[in-house]
Formats: sequence, C-alpha cells, structure tokens
Amino acid sequence: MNKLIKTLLTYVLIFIVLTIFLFPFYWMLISSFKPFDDLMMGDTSLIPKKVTLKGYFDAFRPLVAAKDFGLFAKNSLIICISSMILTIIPSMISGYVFTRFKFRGSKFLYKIMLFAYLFPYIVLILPLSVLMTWLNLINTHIGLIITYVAVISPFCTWLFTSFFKSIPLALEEAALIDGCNRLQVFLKIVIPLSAPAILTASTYAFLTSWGDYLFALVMIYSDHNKTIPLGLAMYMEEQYIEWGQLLAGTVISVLPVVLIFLPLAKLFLKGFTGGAIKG
Amino acid sequence: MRLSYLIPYLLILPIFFLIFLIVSYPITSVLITSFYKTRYGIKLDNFIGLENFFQLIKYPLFWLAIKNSIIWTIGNIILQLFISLSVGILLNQDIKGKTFFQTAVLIPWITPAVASAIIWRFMLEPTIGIINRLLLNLGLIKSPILFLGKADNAMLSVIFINSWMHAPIGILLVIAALQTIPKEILDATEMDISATWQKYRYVIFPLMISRIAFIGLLLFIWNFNAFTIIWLTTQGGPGDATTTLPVLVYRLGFRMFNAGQSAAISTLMALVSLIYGLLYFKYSERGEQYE
Repeated sequence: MNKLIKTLLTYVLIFIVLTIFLFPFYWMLISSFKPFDDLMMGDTSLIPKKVTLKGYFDAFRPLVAAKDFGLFAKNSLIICISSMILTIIPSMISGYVFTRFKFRGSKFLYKIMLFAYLFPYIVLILPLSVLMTWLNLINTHIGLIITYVAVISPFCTWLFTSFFKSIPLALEEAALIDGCNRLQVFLKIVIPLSAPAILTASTYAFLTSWGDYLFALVMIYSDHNKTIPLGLAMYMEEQYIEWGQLLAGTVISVLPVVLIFLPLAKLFLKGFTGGAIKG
Repeated sequence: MRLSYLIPYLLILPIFFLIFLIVSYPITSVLITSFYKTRYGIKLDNFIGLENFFQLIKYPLFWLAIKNSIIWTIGNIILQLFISLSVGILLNQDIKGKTFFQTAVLIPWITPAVASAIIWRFMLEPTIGIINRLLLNLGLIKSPILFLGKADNAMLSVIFINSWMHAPIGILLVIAALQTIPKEILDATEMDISATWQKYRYVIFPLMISRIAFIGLLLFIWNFNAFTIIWLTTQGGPGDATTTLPVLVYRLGFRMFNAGQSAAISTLMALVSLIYGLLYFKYSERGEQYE
C-alpha cells in the first residue's frame, strides 16, 4: 500500500513537472492555429474552437517582402548546415590529435581552446563586427558561418577528445603494425567507430547555430540576409504584434530542433554528460 | 623528422586560426580599447590610461548593473539548482517511461532563445496572455499583472523564464551525478518520506557534493554571461530594472556608442571569466585524478 502511494505520488509530481516544462509549447502550437479574434480576446480554451492557417500563410506570403519567413528559413538552413559540416571535420581531426599525438604545448593549447568556449561572447561582438567590416564579411552568410565554426569547434573538439579516449588504443596499434599509416588508421578505423560522436557533435553544432541570436544580431542587417531568430525578433518589435504570424514562425523555429533532437536524445545525453560531469 | 614534428600543429591549425581570429583578436582589441578615448562608437582617439574605468566608478548605471547582475546570477543559480536537484531525483526513480521523461524536460533547453522569449511574452502578456486570463477568471487578481512591464516584477519574471530554459541541463547533470552513486544505496526502499529525505540528506548528497559544486560552477558562468533572453524579453528595462552587465555592455557599445566604457566593462567581465576558467581547470584536473 505504501509503495502504491509512493508510485502514485511520483507520477503526479512528474505530471506537474512536465506540465511546467512542456505546456508552453503546447500553448504556442495550438495558439498558432487560432483565428485573430480568438487570440486578441485572450481565448483560454485548450482546444481551439476554430482553426485557421492564416498565421502560416502570413508568414510565408507576407504583404511586405522584407518579412518573408521562407527566406529567413532558407538563410538559416544554409548557414546552419554549412557551419555544421565545417565544424565537424576540423573538430574531429583536432580531437584525434589531442588524444593520440604527444607534442609540446598540447595541454596548454587544449586549455586555451576550452577557455575560448567558456568565454562570454557578449564581450567579443563589438570588435568582431569591426573586424568583419574590415574583412568585407559583415552582413554576409560567410562571416556568420566563420564565426559559428570558431565558437562551436572548441566544444565539438572536446566531445571528440572524450570519445576517442574511449576507443582502445590496441585496435589502432594493431593496424599500425599491419602496415597502415596514421591517415589510414584514422580513415578506416577511427571514423567508422565514431558515428555516435559525429552525430552528437553535429546535433550540437546545428542546434547552437540554429538558435543563435547574438552574433546574427551584430553581423546581419539586411532583411534578405536575416536568419530565423532575427526575423522572429523583427516580428516582435512591431508596434502591433501580429501574433498569428509570429507564433506560426515560432512553431517552425522549434519544430526541426525537436524533430532532430528527440531521436538522437539518448546518444546526445550520453556524449554530453559522459565527460561534462567529470570535467 | 623535422616535418613529422610539425604535423600535430598543422592539423590543429585551422581551429586555432579561427579561435585567434574570432576570439583572441577581439579580446585583445577590447583590452586596448578600454584604455582609449573613443569617437563615433569605435574609432580610437587618444590613450587615457584608466580613465574609462574611473568614469565607470562615477556612473550610477554601472553600479546598478552590478547589483542587477548579482541578483540575476544568484537568483538563477539558486532556482536552477533547486529545480535540478528535485527534478533530477524525481526523474531518476525506477519508473516506467523514465527515458521519455528525461528527454522531454530537455526540450526548453534545445529551443532557440528567441522562441522561448516569444512563447513567454505571449503567455505573460497583460491583456491576451493565458496566465493573466486564468488568474483573472479564477478571481485571484483584480487587474492584470505586468510581469515584464513593471520594474518590480521584471527581474523575477526573466529569472523564471531563464531558469525554465536552463534548468534542464542542470537536471541532466544531476541525473548523471546520481548515476555514480552505488545502486544499492539509491534503490534501498525507505519506510516513509522523512526516511527518504534523511537518506538523501546524510548519505547521497554528501557523496555528490563535489559534483553539485561543479554544476554550480557551470551554472554560474552560463547565467552570469546571459544576454539574449534578457534582451529579447525586456531589453534591460523597464527603466533599467533588468540591465545586467552583459546588457550594459551591449547598450553602451551599440546603442549609446560609447565603445570605451563598453570595453572597460568587457575587460572586467573577461577578468571574471579568467578567474572562473582557472577555478574550472583546477576542479576538472582534480576530478581526473580521482577517476
């Protein structure tokens, strides 16, 4: 009896916790389908009385060309996928070098890299925007991609380092004895074994660049170059916020993240906490 | 032989070149700027030594930002540690659907900050927001609460929103820490709630204390540096009620075009991060020894 009460209590508590963390998403989703009048009346019904797709149409076929959500989504996808690919390759190589090569200053360089990850980005943005202007990369996708690769790589390198440490050295040594060189070992043994780490690092890189607001804010100023976060922030700054359009855009900004993350969550959590808690 | 000595350096060069360009160079630039008088926002005028720092001392908003930053950081750490520990323990119970629950609570953490800001602004809106509507309908309040629009409430509201976003990672780290506790201790069934509490209080928490301290250390830097969620919900207002140091750095640099003082605050923040970094490495090295 005691045990039954305890289990029941646990589920009730879990229900409350999940409501706090997830209800806002449910509310966003159903509100994005509510007609303008219901939104403005502050309708509190948990299931919409009337359903409309007007918010979504307004977002993708806006009256003002500058507010085209489709364009923001395209920009975001181009930038995030490029950043992801460009981050993974050098991070993987560096991670391998830090795990398997002994060289002077390696510990120091590794710390410098981790410190770059911990550093407050807000401190960097003013000189960074000046630098990007000099390099003629301000207000370009390339400038933003370079920045994302630079700030995301340290953490991904760290993820790969902690993963490679778990691959038994004997496996690689055997291959070396059999006449493979380092490059062959890396391509034929290390990479195929690293699928979980590659997935984890890619997810991290994609989510981080997808959600970034700060760097995009100081580097992109033309409407046609804006990413989803900048576009949504622009909708929100309007004198009269068009909630339908804004909520529809928000749903689209959250959906891919959740869809990519959920199937990979278990893997991601393992890679993420495996080292993090140990330091 | 010479060449092979260089190989590791060449292989890590791309990342270090980018870190130099995007992180080290700007830091150096900020340090230099903090000792100069600036014009038109960014142009360096003449060397004025510590004058920018002395100006800051006389600048009331700087002191308010420090006060706000302290309230912000401590408030967030306490709230997030509390949520992480209680929810972490709850979701580590041996129950059906455990993995699903653990994954589900992480969703706020992976959500773009802009989306979280919009969702909460929509829910906390005075006239159309569901929270005010429900409170009014239930007769708990007579007029809508200005959660973000009133100086007295704004700080608390944004701390809540920020903790809602960041507590999930704390929960995750607490669950990882709990998994290092021997299963026999964790799973031993207690007679009642107070005995369970005693078990955690006297057995489990002491075993986890260094890991909890480490989580606190991580939470410190994440919250201390937070900018986006504050900027997107209140822009540091109403008045200056939620202007923390990062918000002030942005406002001075991009809104008031005072790069010199913005750089001076940035330099102070960089110092805090440096001290933090040293502590972090000291801790993580000690952790490795015990592995």
